[in-house]
Amino acid sequence: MATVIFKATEACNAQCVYCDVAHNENAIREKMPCELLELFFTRVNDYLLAKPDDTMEIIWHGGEPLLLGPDYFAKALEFQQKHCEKTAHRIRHSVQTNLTLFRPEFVPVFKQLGVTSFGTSYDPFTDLRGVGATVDANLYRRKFMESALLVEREGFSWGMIYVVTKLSLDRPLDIFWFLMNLNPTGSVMFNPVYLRDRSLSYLDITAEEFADFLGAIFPAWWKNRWRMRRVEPFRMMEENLMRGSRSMICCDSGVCAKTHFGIAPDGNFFQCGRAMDWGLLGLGSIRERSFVDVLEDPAKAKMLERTKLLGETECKGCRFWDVCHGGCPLDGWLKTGSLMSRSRMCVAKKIFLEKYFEPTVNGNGSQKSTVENCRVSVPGAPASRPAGDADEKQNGAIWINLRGTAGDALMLSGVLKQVADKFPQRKFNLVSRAGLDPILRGHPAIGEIGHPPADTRIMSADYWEEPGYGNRGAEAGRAYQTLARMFGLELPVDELLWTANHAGKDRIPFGLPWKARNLLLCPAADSARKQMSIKKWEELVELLSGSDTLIVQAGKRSAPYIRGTYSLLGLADERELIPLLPRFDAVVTVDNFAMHAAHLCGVPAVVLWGPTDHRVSGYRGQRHFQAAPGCGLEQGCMSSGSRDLCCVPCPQEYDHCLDSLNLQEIGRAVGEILAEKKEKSWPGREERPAGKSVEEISLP
Amino acid sequence: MSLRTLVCPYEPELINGFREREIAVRVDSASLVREAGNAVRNSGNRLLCVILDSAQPVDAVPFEDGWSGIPILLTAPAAGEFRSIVHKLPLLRSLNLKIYLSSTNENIRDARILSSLGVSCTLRIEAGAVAWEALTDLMTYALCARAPHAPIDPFDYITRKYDATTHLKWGGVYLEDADKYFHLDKEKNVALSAKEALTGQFIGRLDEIEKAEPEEIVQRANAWSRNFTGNNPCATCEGFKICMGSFRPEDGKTEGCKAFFSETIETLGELYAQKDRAGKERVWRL
Repeated sequence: MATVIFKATEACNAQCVYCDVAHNENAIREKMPCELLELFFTRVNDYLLAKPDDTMEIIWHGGEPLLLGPDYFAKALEFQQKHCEKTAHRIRHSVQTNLTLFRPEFVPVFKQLGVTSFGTSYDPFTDLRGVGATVDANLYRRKFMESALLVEREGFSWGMIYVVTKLSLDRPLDIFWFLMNLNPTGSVMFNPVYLRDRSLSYLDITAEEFADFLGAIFPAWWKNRWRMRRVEPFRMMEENLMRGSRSMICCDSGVCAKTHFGIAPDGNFFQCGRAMDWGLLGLGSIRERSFVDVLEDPAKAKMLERTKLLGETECKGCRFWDVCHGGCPLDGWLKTGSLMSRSRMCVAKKIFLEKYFEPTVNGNGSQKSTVENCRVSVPGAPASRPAGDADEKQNGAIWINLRGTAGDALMLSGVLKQVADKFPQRKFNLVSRAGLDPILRGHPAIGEIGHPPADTRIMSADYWEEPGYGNRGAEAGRAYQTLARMFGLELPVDELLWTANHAGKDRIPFGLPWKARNLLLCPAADSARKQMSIKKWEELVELLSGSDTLIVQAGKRSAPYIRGTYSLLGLADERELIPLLPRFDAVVTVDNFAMHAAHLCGVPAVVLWGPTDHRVSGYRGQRHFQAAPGCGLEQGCMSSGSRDLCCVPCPQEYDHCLDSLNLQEIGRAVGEILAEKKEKSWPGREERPAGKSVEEISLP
Repeated sequence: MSLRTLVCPYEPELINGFREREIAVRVDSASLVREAGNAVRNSGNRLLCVILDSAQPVDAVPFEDGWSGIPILLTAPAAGEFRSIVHKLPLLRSLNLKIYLSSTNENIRDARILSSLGVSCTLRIEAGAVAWEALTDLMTYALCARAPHAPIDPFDYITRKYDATTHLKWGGVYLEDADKYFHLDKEKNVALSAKEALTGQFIGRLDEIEKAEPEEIVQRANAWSRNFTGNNPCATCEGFKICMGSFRPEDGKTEGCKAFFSETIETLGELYAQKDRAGKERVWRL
């Protein structure tokens, strides 16, 4: 989308202290003449006719665009209707305003122009933004609030920019919550102040200060992001670094020269709005040039070269290049006098990401591509992308970034045990994650569990992102084998699981009413898609119930209870489940931790599969029931390419694939296992208080 | 302008002067409940509820079988003796009754007991000396307890209406919402809350107001925005979206209400996340 920063006047009713336009003696306070306004719309039409696949966003900027008055916008509408008859549907208008002059008379014309949102700026605590020559901040705030309410009542959206100055630095959280409570319907963005006027240096902030300001806010945003509208740059960082999005604002896109340009009230073109304010990068006049000409100007092409140049020089090797591209060229120019240099705020971004973003998101188990993906080289074993042992010695142990579930942790533990058995000197560190650490605590291959220092080499354990993973029928495509390959083990390997200190007495502080046959049900999984409905489980329990069978349900406290079972919900976490498992004759489960744990303990398991595939993730020797997806996704909705769906419940609801499994067959399989039950003595089995009824068991 | 529900004193002449309006009628004697309810229904209007302003605690209110079918909003100073209430439980449960209590420590405790007995109740939270910690416990019970219990408002209302992206006004629980309720005296003067009606703070006469809505109503609806033009601690509070600055104590000590509303939002977030995770059938069953 082409974006034009359209300044039909540079006059403003406010005199914000740090504003470049307000204090620029050369700013053009007059309105753009009507003949130029008309020419502008003919140019818009010409551009869109020449680029039939493109759209154009016109950002009414200033100065204060509302000073133009409703009649001026009505004129603009008239010109658009006159000249853009066939292209009007590809034109979008938005307005960047301080809102203080908004009044009901603007509403009809803005609606006709298709304006849906306003961008504004606001500062709740300092007196830097104010109206009139006296910079009246209180009047500004009062007018702003009145207008914001009116804007909302009229059905427009509004967002705001908060400019971070030296005066903001002592109240980051207050500022954040203030803006959140104000509840703009659009986004809130925190920008550092850009100052050209040296007399304002008392407002200037360093890159470190800006990073620390964002860092003070980020944990609060991260914790509450589910109830926040867009807050930038946080949401953008999250989307780009963790969800693979590639959508950035002009400063970070690296291609602003391709998409943006500005027009001054006298019709002169500039690279962008900021360039216009600073009198840089003029590109001729609207009277002589078309928009296509401007966007293809050699000066613009040179700006694009900057991105390439920085990628090969100053920014070479930066792991955040993809979300920065050297930042705003004009900010680089402000620091060095060269447009080819990177922005000083690159440093702010890097500090923020390393010092605040990554530790915070790591703590919540959600980090993705913020870290470098490297592969491990095990001496004597082939590695797909070796990191090099010498390199490793030089830089210390590699940190493993394990995402996923406790089952994945158990698999990793098994793989690492095989690595440790072969190469006892080999040590890794583990990025700490609540819930997963206990599985790997005490592991011979793990040195430290904690948070990696900045610039550490981190290895991802996301086996599902590996090429070849999920290739059904191929041994190398199995989850365990893929993980083993990532750690340099020669395939195929035995799929052995392992965890430290799981043997011994279980920790359930009271006895269970054991019967002749004892069955463990683990119906819950980390993803709702991997679960069978409660109703089906209850039918299965009815099928399996018998006077000599105890059916126990294990899971988290919040898991739904299956009627007819003896509930251990919330009473045994993953580590506590492992010593408990061998006391059961069989486990009926879905693709979850219990499936792995049953394999670890050698307990027969019946595993129910839906969106994931037993040929990829299941263990040999277990009884697998695979539901065929009825949703049109032949690979299942949680195959390697669509794993993100795991967090979203299945939209099929009652037609969910797992609910199509034949309970009779499952019941028969369980029955066969129970019938084959060998009278071997599991650890602790002799302690069971046989014959006691539930009432007789004394609970603590 | 949308037609508001009218909250009126029980004055037959006043009520008969309306047609096809929704009316909550206020009485101060249990003996008038049935009569007032029937009067509204027979006047060609819809009965929202009968408000019984009882000076006696709940245990002393002479509940009647004949109240069944009448929605009753009982405001009482206290619950009273549960020894007595227990004997009336079958009747209380059979009525369409909601008990309103103030937020004293005793009432917070009793609201939990009433709720666990299956009697729905509402706590009136007002700015001032509220036992915020006890209220937080009650909120947790109301929203998270898995033991069966009757709804406790305003928590139940907040749970049902909460939208993380907007401000939540829940004055409607107390029939105090300028967009929905007008409180009248017998002369048809309009106030925007029961307290204002009682103290004579009227904004005009009903017929005039319904012809042209006075600015006062818009200002009342936007009163929250005044928190953002001064140096008000509520503006930077994490719980603002469900409090909107309505409960700031006069002494300016906001620690209690801040902790309460922030925790309520956090709890709501967890509940919604659980709901999203669990899907339709994933409900706790005893």
